[in-house]
Amino acid sequence: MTVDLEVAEVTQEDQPVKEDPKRYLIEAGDRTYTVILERTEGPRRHPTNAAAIRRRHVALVTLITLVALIALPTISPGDLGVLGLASSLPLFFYLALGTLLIGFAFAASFHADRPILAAYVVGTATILHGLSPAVYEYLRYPWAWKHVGVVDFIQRTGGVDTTIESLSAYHNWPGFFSFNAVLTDLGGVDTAVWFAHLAPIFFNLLFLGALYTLFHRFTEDSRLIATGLMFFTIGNWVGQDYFAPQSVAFFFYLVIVAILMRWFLTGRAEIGSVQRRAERPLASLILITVVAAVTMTHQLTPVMMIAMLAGLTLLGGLRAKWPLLATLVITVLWLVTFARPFVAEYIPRVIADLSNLGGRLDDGLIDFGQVDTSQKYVSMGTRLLTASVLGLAGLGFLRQFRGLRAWRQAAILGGTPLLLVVASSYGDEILFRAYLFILPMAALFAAALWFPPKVEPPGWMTTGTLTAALVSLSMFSLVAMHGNDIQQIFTGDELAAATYMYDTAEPGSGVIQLTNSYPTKFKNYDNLKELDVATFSQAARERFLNDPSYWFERWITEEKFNDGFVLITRTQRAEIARQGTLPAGSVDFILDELRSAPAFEVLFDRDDGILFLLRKGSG
Amino acid sequence: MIELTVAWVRALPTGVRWVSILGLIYVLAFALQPGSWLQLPVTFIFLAACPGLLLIDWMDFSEVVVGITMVIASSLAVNILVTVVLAGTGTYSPFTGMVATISTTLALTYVSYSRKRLIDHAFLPMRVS
Repeated sequence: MTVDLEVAEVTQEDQPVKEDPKRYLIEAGDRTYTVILERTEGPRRHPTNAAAIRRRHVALVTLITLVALIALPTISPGDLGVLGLASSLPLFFYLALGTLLIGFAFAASFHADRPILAAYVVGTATILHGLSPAVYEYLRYPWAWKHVGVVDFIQRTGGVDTTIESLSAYHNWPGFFSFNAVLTDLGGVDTAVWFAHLAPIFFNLLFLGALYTLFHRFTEDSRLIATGLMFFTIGNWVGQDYFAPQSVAFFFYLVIVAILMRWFLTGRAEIGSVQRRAERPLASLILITVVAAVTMTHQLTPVMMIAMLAGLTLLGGLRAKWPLLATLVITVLWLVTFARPFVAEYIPRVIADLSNLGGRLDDGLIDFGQVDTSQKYVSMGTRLLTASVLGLAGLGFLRQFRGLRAWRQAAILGGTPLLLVVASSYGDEILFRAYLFILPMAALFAAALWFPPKVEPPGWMTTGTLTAALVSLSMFSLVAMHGNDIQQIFTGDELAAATYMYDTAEPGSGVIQLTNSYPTKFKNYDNLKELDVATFSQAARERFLNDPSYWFERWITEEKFNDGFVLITRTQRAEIARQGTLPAGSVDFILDELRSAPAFEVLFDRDDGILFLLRKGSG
Repeated sequence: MIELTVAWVRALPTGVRWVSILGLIYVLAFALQPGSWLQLPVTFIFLAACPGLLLIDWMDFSEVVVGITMVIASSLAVNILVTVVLAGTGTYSPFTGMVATISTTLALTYVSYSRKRLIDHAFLPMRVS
């Protein structure tokens, strides 16, 4: 920090006064002067000093982020503790994260400089959401492997099969997968796994860009915008930012909202200029293109788009009706043409689900009586984080909403996702999806608690309370994001066992697994049908445990699989222990039974992955 | 000759200039050294940036972040539309994928360049007077 000083008083003294740091001795000719320096009200931020401060902050953030991520050791499932990755990270990672958050709170309180605030937000997002690729050797999440498998299907067959039995939704909304097929082929790699593990960083940075564009519509205050972005980064724990269609669809959703708010809002809330109105035709073209891309990419996001557009059109001052009509037409056209096979099969289920709101809410939350201690801690962490973010948002909205530009539109954007919970058939994921769509506005409202619009710059109290909030929420966020990693990350043995199975399985084969937690369906997936023991009823599971090898043999024979596999991996074992799907010791018992059953042959046998094949002619 | 080339490049819209540079790098990475580690990131940047870059001359993005966001969103959206047509009709292959994405970018380049020439032509009498 540079302080502007000027000479206030010059006196001649016989004795130098060394103990006072404001006094300096200057010799001129045969005389010695004591110069007393005092702070004055000079220009607070000289341009050169501001640039130097900015450079220092950005360099510090870059250094901390890179060192924290590069220096992290590779972590295997055996290293994970009670709180998953959160209890296994080295101290320096927490110090790095803490430094970034304290630095941000300080910078937001005393330097409302956009590049500095942006550096802290980007650094924190990179550190938080770049953890998986930094510490894990293989792609996290079983679902991410399935998405790689759909890309592989398009590469192998040259298209999609909208009537396919397995993963049919992806074939009816193929936008994400077809794009990644092109990227994989033209990028010169043999599988999308090569880049899929970087998806969380990529998507979170995209979210921040779209949210910056959106938040800018509500306020010019860079502290409020940056703090809103920081709350979003920390609060985004729901795992909808991995290699998945919903990630790119959510980015598109945010961009659509930003375009509407920037170019199409009219009336009192409009901040447009002649230039902006002149840009509307091209903005319309981009809007339609992005809406069409969302419609072809994800089945749920168009529903959210329509709800949001209806809210803004009916209540939010969006005078142009055509965006709502165009979105409706494009969505309906897609549903009755390309996605018709899927819609025809699933409409009855959707209607049945709509009448079961209570059941959906119960399904979304785990039963504390059934799971192990570790899972309980993680679930409590996620609930605390969610409640804190939404609670802060509620307080921020109640206290400060009138200070925001277009606060009515902000409230509509934050409220419409709640309709998802009432009017959807998305099973137990719906609460998480609704939270994700509420989060952008919730983050901005929460930030308004610390940086009320149109209020003078804050002081140390703001720095302290903001630091406390960010640090504590980020700790909960690490638990929420990575607490269940024991069920979601894989070892080389598991990958090798699964690869062996998918490479050797003939078309028309099948695999019986205890759960679907392993690197699943990532290649030749249409050759294999899956049966999950975990999805059977409690009574069926109890019958199965009386004689596992008999039931495996019977199921394989009844299904008429060409090759009948049984695959048991470390992650399946971990998930069963956590969720309490089978009694303790069941997996070892099943393995012993299968090893001693003459009908089964061990094809692949390593510590973390064992593959059995039902011998031809058995059963 | 060099001066003429420089003048011609300067006359291009900014987006077209960027797309030309990225396209050249892409061709070098893809054609001259297939399989190099550069191929994947360069392909990704080409696909995620080029179609949208051609739109930036048409709009006033005073904020860099807003401009980058719009460029990536429109690029991804355009490429998703193109590749869905290929996958939906069962005509996808590495070759058709490459031809389709590059053709789309070239078509948008032509539109952008034509628009710039049209505007320059329309405003020329005003500049002279």
